[in-house]
Amino acid sequence: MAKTVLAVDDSQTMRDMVSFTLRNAGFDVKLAVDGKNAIDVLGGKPIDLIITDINMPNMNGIELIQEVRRLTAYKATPILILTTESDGTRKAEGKAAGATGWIVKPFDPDKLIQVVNKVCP
Amino acid sequence: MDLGQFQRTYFEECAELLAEIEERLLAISAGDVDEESLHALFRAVHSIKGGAGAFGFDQLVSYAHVFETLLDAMRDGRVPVNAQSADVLIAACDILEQLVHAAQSNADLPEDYGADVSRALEALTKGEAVDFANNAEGSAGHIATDSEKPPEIAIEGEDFGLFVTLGDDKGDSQPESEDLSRTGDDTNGNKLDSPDTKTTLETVSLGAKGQFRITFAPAPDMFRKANEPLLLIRELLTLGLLRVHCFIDDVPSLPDLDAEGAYLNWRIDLTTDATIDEIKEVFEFVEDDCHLTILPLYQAKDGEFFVDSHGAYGLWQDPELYQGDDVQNLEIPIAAEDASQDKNSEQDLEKSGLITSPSLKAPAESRMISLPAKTQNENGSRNLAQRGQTTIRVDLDKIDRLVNMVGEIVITQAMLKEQVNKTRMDQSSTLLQGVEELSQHTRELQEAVMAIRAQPVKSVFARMARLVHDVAPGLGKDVKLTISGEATEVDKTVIEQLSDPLTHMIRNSIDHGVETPEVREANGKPRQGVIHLSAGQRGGRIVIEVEDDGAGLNRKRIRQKAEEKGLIFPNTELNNEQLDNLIFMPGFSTAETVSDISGRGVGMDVVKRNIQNLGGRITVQGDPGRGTKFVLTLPLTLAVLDGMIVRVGDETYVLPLSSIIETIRPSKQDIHQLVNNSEMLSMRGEFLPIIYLSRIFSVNQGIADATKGLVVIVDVEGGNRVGLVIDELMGQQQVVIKSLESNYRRLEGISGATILGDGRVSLILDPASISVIWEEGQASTKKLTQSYENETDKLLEPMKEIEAK
Repeated sequence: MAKTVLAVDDSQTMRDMVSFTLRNAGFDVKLAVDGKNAIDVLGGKPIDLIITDINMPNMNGIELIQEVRRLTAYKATPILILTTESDGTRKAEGKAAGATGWIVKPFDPDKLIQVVNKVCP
Repeated sequence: MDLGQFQRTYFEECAELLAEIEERLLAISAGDVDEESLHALFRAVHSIKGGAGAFGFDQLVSYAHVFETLLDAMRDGRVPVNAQSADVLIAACDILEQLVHAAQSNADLPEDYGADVSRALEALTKGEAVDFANNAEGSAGHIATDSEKPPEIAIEGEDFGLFVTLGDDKGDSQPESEDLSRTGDDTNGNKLDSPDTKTTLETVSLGAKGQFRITFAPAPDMFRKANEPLLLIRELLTLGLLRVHCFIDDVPSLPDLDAEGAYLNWRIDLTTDATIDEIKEVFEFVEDDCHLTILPLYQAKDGEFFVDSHGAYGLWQDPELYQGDDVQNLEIPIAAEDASQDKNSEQDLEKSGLITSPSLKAPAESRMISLPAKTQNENGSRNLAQRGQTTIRVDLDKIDRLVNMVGEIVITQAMLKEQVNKTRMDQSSTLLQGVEELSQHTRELQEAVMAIRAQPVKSVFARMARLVHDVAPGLGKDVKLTISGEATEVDKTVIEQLSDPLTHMIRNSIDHGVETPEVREANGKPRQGVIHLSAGQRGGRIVIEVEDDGAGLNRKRIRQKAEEKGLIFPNTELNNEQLDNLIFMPGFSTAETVSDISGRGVGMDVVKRNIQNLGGRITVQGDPGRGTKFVLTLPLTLAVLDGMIVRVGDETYVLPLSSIIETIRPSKQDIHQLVNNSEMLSMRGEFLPIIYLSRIFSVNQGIADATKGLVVIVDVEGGNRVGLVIDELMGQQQVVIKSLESNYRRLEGISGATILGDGRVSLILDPASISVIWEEGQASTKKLTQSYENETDKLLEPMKEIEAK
């Protein structure tokens, strides 16, 4: 069965690009526009991977990770943050919140598939 | 994989983000600063930058980065936000917009484009950074450095990177860490029942640069050959820093265990100065008795476990953590944690007084209490989830295709209805009822499809706020723009073409309407003038009003000016409304001095022309001393038109209903012959030119005597009216507009074509342009007539093709 990935980003362009890339690689992709929406989309049900942007309205990526990690269903779910290379602080925050890893933005589609396959084999 | 296809989405998103940025900046400039606004600004610029990076718009990326850095500092409170910095930000937003446009149109901007603004942004960021350093060194300062300095990730073409977690006392990154002696226990088989399937050896060595990942799986008989993996690992330790994972998955259950067998295998990440050959030397003697791979790893940044060779991604945790039985184990402590949280929330409830009895800690009861909250939460979630998925982005072409197809259905339906009506069948017949229902559904379908193209006028209204902000200070005016009804939805094309006329009107209001603060004060008005922009829907049309509380129109001056310019005859009787509307006449301008904002006399007639092109009308009311109000009415859509079907000889034409004022049947004494064979109609003391459509379009058997036909009075350029002579009115009908330009070419006097219920192609007349043809003189009319004669046949060919389709 195809693995399901939740991609969270307030930018339509990014959402489109992530979902296109991952769907092409055979993943099911769910989308959310911010952290709050992501929690709703998850609905407490297990998911194979979460990829999230950091800067988002309502609930940002860091808060989302913290929130998700508190829930039993997602304690072991790999979470990747999409971040710009220069943003060391955000990366550190992401790590502290419990992210599994990061992907640099803008991402190379092949690299995205590579890292997703790595954390979600 | 090519992601270039998403550029379109990106630019659409950019337009929205730029509009949002501008709107928020204008609010800030007006003194309305809130934290969320700053966060939103940062996110917007950040998103523009992110997408630009994806498509390789380097200039845009580096500029957006500078912009974003300042906004980041502002949202963190490191740089203060005030009206002055808001102005720099607004200028910066303009540059950003230009760079986005340049990227979109593939245009080349000079490399230093926006460099001065960029420097100003940097100065703002830096200027404040000094203050910041003064105020707080220590931890906050540390964060600032971190955020500014990109992580040093050496890109050396190696494949992977490794981070060895040293002294990371948080313990979150290595829940699986064990010390060496523990690993030894495992090899002895003492911990075979342990849920741990792997253990990690960590050890420390000094400064190392190259990084390698070694996977080492001894052959089962390795121990018998007197080789000891532990010794090999210790030898590796002399080369550098190690992080060792021992995999015990292959260890059999006790009865099957061969005490001398080698069941363990390792993954060793080594940070070292040694070369790959030196590492290979360690394994020299076991090379044939094991499976061994040695791969160079990429230099990872502090805190990372694994980094891709191009710095494209990194991991803080070993992905293998998430595989196999570990997941189960990981969940155990969390369940406990959750339970404690439940307890906490219960305590919170107690604290807040919702639960008063101390005996309520029984699980069942607490569940009951939390139930309503949970249900509410679930409902809320569902709403939110729905909201997240209520919009989709659709290509405009697809919608236009839909609109066209619905247009065809409307025509087909009209034809069908006409045919059925011709058969004069029993009113109760099911066919007739079916056709009635079909026409009802078709109308609903059409409305629904048109609604898709509709957008709130907010986008264009927001631009007006910017206009006021930019223009008013330069004219020494203090003006506030208030907006209402910005959610009113209008066809996208109408919105796009609304910007120019609105800009003109608002500039006019600022320039000529609103007085200077001093004059206003002297007249007992507040110093700040108000321009109110509103939109609403009234009777199937959109009404947009621009109202200012300025000086109003000086009617005396308007009359004087109009007479001077020969636009009206001296002493012509005009009521206030007529006087006011003289300002829409070409070449009219009453401004005492020509400013660079407006007042060149090309303003309002252009506005009127633009609005008429959209099928709209514009009027003005100006109460002296109290203000001026422009009222603009527009059709909801440009795809259909309320038309009056008229017959001229054996041709039928469509006149836009919006241009028709009235229709009269003149008597002989109303018609006045002029020397050049043209005629004037006298109507309530007004003289209007009479235009015979049959002559303009060279129609056979058209009525040549206005008294035998009808004269339709229509509104044309500059508030003028003309009478169009037709044979008869056939009725009012909504018609689907087909572009002549895209199917044939543009023709003077004709704004488009449509297909009527009987299947005939009918041309939609443009009264303003017909009046121009007429004005151009009788001689040239004749010439035009001839050319039309030839063209009409040709014209119908492509139209019939459409019909056939």
